[in-house]
Amino acid sequence: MAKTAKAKVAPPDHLEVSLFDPEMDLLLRAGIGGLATTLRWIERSIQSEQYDEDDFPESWIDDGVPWELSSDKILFRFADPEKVEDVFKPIFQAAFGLCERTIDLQTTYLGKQQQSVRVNLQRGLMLTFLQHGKTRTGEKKDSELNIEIDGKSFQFSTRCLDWYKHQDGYQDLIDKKKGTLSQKSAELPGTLYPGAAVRHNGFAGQTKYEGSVSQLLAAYFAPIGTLALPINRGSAVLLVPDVQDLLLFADNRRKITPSSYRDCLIGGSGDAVLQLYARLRGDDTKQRLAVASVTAFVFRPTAWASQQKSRVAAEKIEPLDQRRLEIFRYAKDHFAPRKASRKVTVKTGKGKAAKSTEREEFFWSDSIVRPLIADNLAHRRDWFTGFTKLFVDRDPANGKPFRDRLPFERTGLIAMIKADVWDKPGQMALIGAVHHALRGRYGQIASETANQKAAMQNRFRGEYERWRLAFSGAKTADQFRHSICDLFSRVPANKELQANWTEVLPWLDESGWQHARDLALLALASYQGKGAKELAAAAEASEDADSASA
Amino acid sequence: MIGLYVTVPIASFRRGAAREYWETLPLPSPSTVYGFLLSMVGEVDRTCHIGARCTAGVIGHPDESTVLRKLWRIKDKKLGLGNGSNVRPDYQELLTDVRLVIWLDSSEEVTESEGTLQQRVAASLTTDGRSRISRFGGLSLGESTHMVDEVLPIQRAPELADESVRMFLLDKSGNFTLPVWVDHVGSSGTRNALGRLIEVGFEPPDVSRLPKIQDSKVLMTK
Repeated sequence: MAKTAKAKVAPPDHLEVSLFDPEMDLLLRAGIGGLATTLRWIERSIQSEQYDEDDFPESWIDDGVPWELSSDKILFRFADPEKVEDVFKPIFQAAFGLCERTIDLQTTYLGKQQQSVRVNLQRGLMLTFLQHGKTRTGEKKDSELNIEIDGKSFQFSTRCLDWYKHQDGYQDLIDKKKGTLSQKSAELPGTLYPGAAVRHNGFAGQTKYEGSVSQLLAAYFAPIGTLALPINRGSAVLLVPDVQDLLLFADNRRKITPSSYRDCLIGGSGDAVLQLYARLRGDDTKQRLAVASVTAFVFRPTAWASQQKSRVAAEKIEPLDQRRLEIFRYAKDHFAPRKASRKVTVKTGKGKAAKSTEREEFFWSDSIVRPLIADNLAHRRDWFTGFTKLFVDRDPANGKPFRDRLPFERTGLIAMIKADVWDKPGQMALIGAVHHALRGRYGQIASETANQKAAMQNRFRGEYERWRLAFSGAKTADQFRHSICDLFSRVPANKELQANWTEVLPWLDESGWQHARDLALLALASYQGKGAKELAAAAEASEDADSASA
Repeated sequence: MIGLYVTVPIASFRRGAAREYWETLPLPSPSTVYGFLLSMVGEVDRTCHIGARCTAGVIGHPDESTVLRKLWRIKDKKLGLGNGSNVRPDYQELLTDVRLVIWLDSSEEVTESEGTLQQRVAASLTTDGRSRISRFGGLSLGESTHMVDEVLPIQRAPELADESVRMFLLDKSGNFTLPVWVDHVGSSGTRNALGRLIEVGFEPPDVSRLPKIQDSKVLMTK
């Protein structure tokens, strides 16, 4: 029987990537947004003639770029369907670069990016997309780097890279034998789609996460369409905007990239998203970026997979209303990251030639209150909800109690309490009543221990610890009521309480006691000893003692 | 078209791409709803009612929580399921007090050997019809442990007039994709529908906006 020749099928001469393709989910839509951002950047570079001769093919400059970009799709046309690489290679090279051995996504910012920002954004990428060592080459350990910010030398640790997977991503889109566009479905591994792992490693071939060539292309550009920020050295947040209009997104993507190192500092997913919205001026988000919401995925090591950063939380956060935005602005102002310094002793030489030199090292210390407020506002809760956690929980990064850092937040807390942030009656009055009672107690102690400075300081500290434990340890409404009434009963003539007791009382019932507990501890953390000299000294002594224990 | 009122005390409708953190969808996807309806009428062949259109809407906002639970995955083929390295913990998002409205339309079904899915579902809601159904175990929506509490024709549902329903309906410029056909082996055969969560009442929606259940092979040859 004669063999029948297979009919030769012409290779595809175009590729359409549609934002509203049902197979594109949230991350892939953001990836299409990232692709559009890159294409728009190339178009602008050609128009303004700001490019090197080797950057783009001559035909793009003479005849126009081989794609059409519209608000809902991108259409690539291949003049030679057997040389698809000619189209994709320059696009990938423009998008994924390196600068000073650090990842440089030049289409996501305007002008020149600060090295400190680039270093921080690279850490975010390495905790999400580029976790695995095989996805990058370069040094195997972090290097210490001194970067000058505002005239002071700050130390950063960074991993110097020579290559990362996304730079050669165009090769996966192409049929290597024919040079045409690949027609097969391809794997979308964790490097391209963080969190989409193989379901059963025993059957890796059958249970991997797969997609078409357009899905693969979108996944490659996800780092451009999203924003990955580290929370600390071991965890990160991946912010995925819900892209609705490619042209608007491409024109405004650079606005969501932090422009200074200070803007890179985040304390959690809510904080990261609200800071992103703040950079877009919050209320205009929909018009400016064409996103309906931002979803934050948290990545960190787990007890059962400590070698990798697993996806452990996902939160969809919509833009805030005016009132919440106003409260977040206060929080940003009063709890901004601050520059701190520490003395470092460096030993050089051995034996008799050994020398010790001391130098001052600067670092950024971020607030622990702002992330809490941001999370609350993002979830439409009262801004102080869960303040008790700051007295109870430990920092997962170093295992130290959060409460040790509260004295450094006192100024911010006092300013926050005095700002226009109270919407419900009785909340401010409860804080005022606790402040009044504490002032009375400290006054009593000061008068009982006059001329005994050490005893006074000990008793002040003891008093603080007593109410800290009483409030934060209360597990029921009865326990909390007992504690707070105990405090109130020890000081006569609490004018704040006498004037507002009808408004304060509902906060002590079964449904409101946890809010009242948060408020009482907020009052304890924000208490400042005003009045007598002894009281002021006691407050300082108390703060010094707290700082020393930190 | 037929409407059902369904309540599930605890449920999780996992996203397909969520493989290490089991994130839940706010409501069951059309493919999950279809599977639930097949289970309800005792049908074991999932290709039997291709062409049916179905969707779900969630009433109110169910409470969300995250739990740490034991899951099995096959890492070592020699070991039994759920043994040794074939077990791992992971976080799972749960919804509690889930109340749903489900709409089903069978006017475009391909095969009608035993009646359409709509007819079979309607029959299963009658005392006489229910007694003729042969099926396995309890009725679940999503995972097999997520047992359904009640299924009622929407006309007999409790007072719903004041409630809002967020329903998944097709939209060409939507921002939400849900599977209409799941490839249980890989994922390349999984097919999705693009739509939006839209606030609606308890009246039947426009049939053309209900996602259609289609085998991936049919979709690919189209």
